[in-house]
Amino acid sequence: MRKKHLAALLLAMAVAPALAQTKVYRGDVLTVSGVIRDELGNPVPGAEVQLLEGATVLDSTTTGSDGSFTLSWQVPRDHELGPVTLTVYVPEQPSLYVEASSTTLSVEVWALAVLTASGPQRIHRGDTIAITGSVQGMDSGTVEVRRGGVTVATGPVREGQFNVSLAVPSDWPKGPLVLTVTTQAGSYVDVEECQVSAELWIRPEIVVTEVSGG
Amino acid sequence: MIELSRRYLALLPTLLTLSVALAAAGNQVVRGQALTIRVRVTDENGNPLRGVRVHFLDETDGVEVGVDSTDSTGYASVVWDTSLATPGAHSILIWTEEADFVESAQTRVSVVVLSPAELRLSVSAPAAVRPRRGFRVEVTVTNAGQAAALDVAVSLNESTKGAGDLPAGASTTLEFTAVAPDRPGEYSLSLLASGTEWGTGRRLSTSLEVSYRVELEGVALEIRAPPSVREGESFNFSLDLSNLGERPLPLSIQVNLTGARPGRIEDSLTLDPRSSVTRAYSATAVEADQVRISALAQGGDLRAWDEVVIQVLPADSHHPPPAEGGATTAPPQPPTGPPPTGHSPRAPARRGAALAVNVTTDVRARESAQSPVREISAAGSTLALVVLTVLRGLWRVEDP
Repeated sequence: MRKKHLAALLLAMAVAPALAQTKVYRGDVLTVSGVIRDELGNPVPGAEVQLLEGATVLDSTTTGSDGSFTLSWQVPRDHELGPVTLTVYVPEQPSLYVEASSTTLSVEVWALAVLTASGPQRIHRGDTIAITGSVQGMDSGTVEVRRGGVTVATGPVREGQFNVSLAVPSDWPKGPLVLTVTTQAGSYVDVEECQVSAELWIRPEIVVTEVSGG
Repeated sequence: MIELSRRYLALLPTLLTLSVALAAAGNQVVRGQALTIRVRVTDENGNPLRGVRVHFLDETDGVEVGVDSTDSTGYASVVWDTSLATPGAHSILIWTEEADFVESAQTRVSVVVLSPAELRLSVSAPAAVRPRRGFRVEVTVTNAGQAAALDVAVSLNESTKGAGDLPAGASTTLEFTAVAPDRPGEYSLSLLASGTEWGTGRRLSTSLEVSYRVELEGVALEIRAPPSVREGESFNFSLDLSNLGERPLPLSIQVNLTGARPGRIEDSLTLDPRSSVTRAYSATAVEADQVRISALAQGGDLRAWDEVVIQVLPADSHHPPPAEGGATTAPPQPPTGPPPTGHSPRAPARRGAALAVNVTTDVRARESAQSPVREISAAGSTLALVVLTVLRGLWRVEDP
């Protein structure tokens, strides 16, 4: 879980300009902090502050003696991807003679597909090898195995797991080999690809060409 | 079309045999021969691999034949000196070292090490033969090795016969005819077999000496008769017959009498080796000046001949009849010609044993000289006659 911190400055009776769009991933914890001040710039302690997505209160707190507050929200893993408008809301508080006020924050919810994969250490031309692994943050989709930027095999992701068969081409050179495993990224999806290291070994063929007495 | 198919079908066994022979011969080597084993090492695509170390191991004898690295064309080779290799099938393991992302690999090749070709001779021939006779000699030449012997030939004295190619373990028998020398004694046959070893081209040769013996043989005949008889009187005479040879000798005897009855006597007998026998006969002198007795003993191609002349006295003569054995011996004559008609001088003395031996020996020589195979020795025969005459002349001189 990662944490994302946003700062907000709320001025009583005035709406602060929206903050620049912030990218958060599902599962991240978004932190919003700020200070409540009155029109004179004096901090307002003891005021209730809420973080809303629409009408849903995501978090709430009370400002400290210096008017500061901190709100946090863990982006659900099933949260819809895309732009989300969050509202920092100060409800009306008669006891403090504070009227309601709010400001908005724009964030983008992204998904992060993290791949882990493994395969045989020693491969040979003509072998069919299996690259297996999992994708965190993506239950379905397609993974690709690439060598030198060229896709050499693909396979489906099922329940976050994949098993891709790769027929080692006959023209690959011997020696160390790096295969990159990645996946096709959709909108608001980032991919953290992985690499599989192997060595391509030659299986020599010995042909007896002559057995002759001299 | 059918005819064409038949031709191919007829060729099929030959082709199959040829292919099998070629396959079998492909990996055969005669022990001592250098064998080259050459391999090519490639990758999965058939591209040559350079610098791969290739080991060659004789698994059968547990000996490393050699190591080589592949060249730029992927070839590596060793030359195997098979001098110390055990004869028989060998499995040669060929394997490569793992290096530079090239894995180890191996293969095997079978090589049959043949023991060298070895010619052996054996002979079947009589241990003893008669003089001047041809006799059969069977020579068997065998290849006791595992490598084939090519163009094998066998020589007996001046005669050479080919035995062709002899595969491993094969043998063939050749027949020769040899002729025994004239003189009795120990002799030997010199045999030589030669050929070429398959694979190496090495010259093969072996020889064998086989001894044999030329037997003594001969027959002797001597007539013993009185030097004179009275006309109309019966008298006895005898034939001393000797077999000088080493084998039993069947003889037929023919006695011709002139001036006496019967005029002809025929007899037969078999003489044991180296034995003598005396056969006695009777005859009656008829009215004539002399009685001539000629005898011929013949066994096979051996013959002996003798002749004596007996003086016939008038019936009223007072001359006492001499004892048997005192008759005059007529000069020896060839048995095939007419007997001599001349009257030889009377010789009343007994004949000594030594003389008998000389006579028979000469007779034998004379008779042998007349055998068909001895025509070339006519001069020898004449010499024998002269010797006989001289000996008889000496005998008469010494007679008291």
